[in-house]
Amino acid sequence: MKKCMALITALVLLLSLGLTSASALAEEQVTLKFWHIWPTDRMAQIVDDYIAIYEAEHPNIHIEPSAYQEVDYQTQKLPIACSTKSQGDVFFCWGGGAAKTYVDAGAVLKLDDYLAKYNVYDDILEGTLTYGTYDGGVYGLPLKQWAGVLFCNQELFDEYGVAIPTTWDEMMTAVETFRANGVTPLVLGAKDAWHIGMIQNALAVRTAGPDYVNAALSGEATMNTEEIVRSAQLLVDLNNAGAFCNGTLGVSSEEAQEEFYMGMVAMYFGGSWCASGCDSPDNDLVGKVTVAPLPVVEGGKGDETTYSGGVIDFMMVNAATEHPDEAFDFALGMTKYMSQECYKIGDSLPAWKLGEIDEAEVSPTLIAIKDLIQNSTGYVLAWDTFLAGAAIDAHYQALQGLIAGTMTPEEFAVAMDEAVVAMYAQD
Amino acid sequence: MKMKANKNLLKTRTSPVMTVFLVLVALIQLFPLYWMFMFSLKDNKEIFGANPMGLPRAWQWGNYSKIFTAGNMGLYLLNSVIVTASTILLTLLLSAMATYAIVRMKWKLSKLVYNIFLVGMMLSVQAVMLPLYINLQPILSTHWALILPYVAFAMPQAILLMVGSLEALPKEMEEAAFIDGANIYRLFYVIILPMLAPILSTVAILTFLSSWNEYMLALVFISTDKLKTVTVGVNDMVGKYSTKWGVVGAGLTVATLPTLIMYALLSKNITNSLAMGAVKG
Amino acid sequence: MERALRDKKAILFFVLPALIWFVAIALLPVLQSVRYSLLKWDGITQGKYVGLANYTELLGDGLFWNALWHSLILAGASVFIQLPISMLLAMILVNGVKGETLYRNIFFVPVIISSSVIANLWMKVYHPSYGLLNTLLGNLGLTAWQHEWLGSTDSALIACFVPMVWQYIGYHMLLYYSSAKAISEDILEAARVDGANKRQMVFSIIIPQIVPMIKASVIFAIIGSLKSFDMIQILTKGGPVHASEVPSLMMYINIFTTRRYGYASAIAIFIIVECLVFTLLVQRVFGRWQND
Repeated sequence: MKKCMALITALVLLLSLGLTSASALAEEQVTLKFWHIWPTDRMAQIVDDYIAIYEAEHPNIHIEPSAYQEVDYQTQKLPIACSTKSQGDVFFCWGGGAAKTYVDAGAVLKLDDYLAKYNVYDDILEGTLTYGTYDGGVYGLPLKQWAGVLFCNQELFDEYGVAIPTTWDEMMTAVETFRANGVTPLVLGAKDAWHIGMIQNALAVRTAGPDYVNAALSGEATMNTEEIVRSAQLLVDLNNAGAFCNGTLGVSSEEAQEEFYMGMVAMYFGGSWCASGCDSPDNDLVGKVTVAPLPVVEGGKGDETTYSGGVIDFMMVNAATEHPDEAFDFALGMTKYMSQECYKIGDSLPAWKLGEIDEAEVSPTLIAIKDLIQNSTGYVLAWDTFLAGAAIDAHYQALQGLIAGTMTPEEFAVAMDEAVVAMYAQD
Repeated sequence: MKMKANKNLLKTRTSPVMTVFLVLVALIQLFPLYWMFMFSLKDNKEIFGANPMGLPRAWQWGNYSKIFTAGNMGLYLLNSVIVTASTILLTLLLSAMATYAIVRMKWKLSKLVYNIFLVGMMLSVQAVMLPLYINLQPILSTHWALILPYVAFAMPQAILLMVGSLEALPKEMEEAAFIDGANIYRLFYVIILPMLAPILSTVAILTFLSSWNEYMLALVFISTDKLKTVTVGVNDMVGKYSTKWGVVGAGLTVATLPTLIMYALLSKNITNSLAMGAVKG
Repeated sequence: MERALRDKKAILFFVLPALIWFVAIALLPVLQSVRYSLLKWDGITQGKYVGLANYTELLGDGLFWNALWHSLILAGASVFIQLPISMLLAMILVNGVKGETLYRNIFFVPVIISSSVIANLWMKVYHPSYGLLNTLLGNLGLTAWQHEWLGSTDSALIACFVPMVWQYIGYHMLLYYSSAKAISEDILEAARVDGANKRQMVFSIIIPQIVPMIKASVIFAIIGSLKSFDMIQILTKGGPVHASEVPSLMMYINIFTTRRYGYASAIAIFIIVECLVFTLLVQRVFGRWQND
């Protein structure tokens, strides 16, 4: 009988534990749930700092943040939560193809009225709203920009007498020289197909030009063109020349990237977010990195002022929130604050006109990238963020097929064309 | 005397070849434990290439202090303990009750009910996650969001093992208790539960392993930092673009410790009870 | 006593809490999934009823058959490689060796450690340049045998299966070991009196006695293989180019990447039915065996 009583007591205790977490709030108090993707380190600190600032300025508003590992958040948590509109009042989300379903489902608040009311257009950099806009309405506040650039380990370049490549011929020569000396020329963890896409997508900007690729990704032009075939062919050429590490298809992006940070690999074509890794004292690269645009391709339609990249990170407001005014106000403040602070720590390029910033505080590699893209004339997002649903998987499979040799560049273009056509046919 | 009943089925000396073989297997089986611990004491350079398997060249004990200062590891551990302990308690109680009715009591549908539970063995979490999320909407910000599904998914295996076990047990004690005038509820607590004790500890450890290590439901169903469990907490340390992997390793090691302790405590009972359950199953 | 055991109220009291809990939480979502499997639906916006279209597409999907085939190979490897090794270890321990309990506990350790740790360890074993396996082969002068284990389409599947099969050897060993330990001493003594040697003891006494446990463990192994997911997800993500894909992984991709929830639900239902069929099949085979 004692055992029985103990069991029951334990159960009652547990029951009460569960129930108390739904607590009552005082009337005029507003609690906003904020879902984001920065659980640790300096990014988490930035979020916490601003929440403290905001709560101090708005004593009646309480922010309840919850942070998740980015990939699992985007792929698992958010889609399920959005099915019942139960995501945070303010939440981080990719624009482009990722948020399209959520917008279609009515889970995201349309922000146009608020943008006008707060005069947001004055503070925002031009073109940053494109991929947060659906059917003419704006649904997201742009958080940061990225650009794909070639990070070069200058020390290795000097050691083997290689010049930073500006044309594709020079690129292939560099690859051959490094390979001949037993140095892996270029980072690629092809197990993560998005990592292959970084390179092929940027090559497509070079061969077909940003305007055409954007049109093709929007379903307004065909993917099955000579230029797209060529972008895939150049990737295959790199692979055949031994540009990537051994067995790259079995190597994850983290594993591959770490070898660059350890100073063992000559080049890394990556997003501007890699700047923080290049300047991190934990790695062996401080002061050794030179950034350059992806080399130009002869006869290509995209010159060195065109880039892969753009604005894909957005702050959005839940359509089902009980406090849309407060939620927008907080989202706007957080977005502006983060845009500036993330630039300082080398995480990303700003999407907003910045106040005074002491450049000495900023990651030097990121400043170099910012200088590089000052006169940029066009951007194309990573295809896996522009596209949605089955087209993303088709893209991934086609990219891996190129590296594995099971798909030819011609077949790649056909597969992408079919995937994009199918995606827009659904609507 | 060889004929005398002996714990070992056949008593023989262990040949040197056999000892070498067993030690080798033991080393292989222990390797993941060693590797995880070493992993937790290295920096990225050693983990990725310089020294992936050996002892750390520079011991990064700081990785451990980092998980307790930077992350909320203590809180996450507490949440995991609350969720796992409730899951185990409820699974044991409910499954034992159902088992008793299925095995000992006389009713037409008992076979059917047993088979319904067995179907549960075939479900996978990913398949039911979305409908479950929709159904559990009202309790999503509580520990119950995890306890309810964990118990539901643990019961089929628990009932399978307990049914086999109870079938193998003699009925004399129960009969005697009835003659003494005990009612059936009292009998369940006083006679049946204690008799099932060995199998209960088996179920306890299997339930512990599955709910302690569960990640996907814990990620999707819990939306408050205060309620996060340890698997999610550890995975939070994996950044998409840069990660201190040694710290992740330290988190994993800390998360594995309770499992090892739990197993050490219960392993004796496992052997005794699995046997009883399965031979009749 | 008879009356007490037929007491309807008592039966309800004992069985209802578990049954209601299980049906409401675990079984109801399955029924909902059956409904979803008849929809063309992304899991978020409004779905559209399409009848059995998802199922007919599934049966005509070459990639699905490819994935299904992989899971069946895994089930085969599990039954015919993993279980015999487990049995061998169990019989060695049961026959009595010094440190029996210690070995038994150590052999179980990989089961305790979460699959993601095991998977990450094997990534280090397989890594093409600094992995343990290729380094070892290099040191032995067998450079020709070095291979891109996870990265090439011809070895990725096998490379995933090795750790999966290995991790649960200890689990099945424990099942066999403990049931062998429970064999009544009378039976064993009778055999000894007849002068049975070690081999005869194992094959004609112990194994026949633990057939019910072997049956249970075969069912566990097959269901586990058909549902396998997390290790492959970390090791290869089903790649390269579908070379190591299994049905659960396909289902996951259809839920979370391609957002074809209806199709994913059809895969889920397929897996459940498949597991049921195999369970019945195993029961049949063992039933015949036990009757012989």
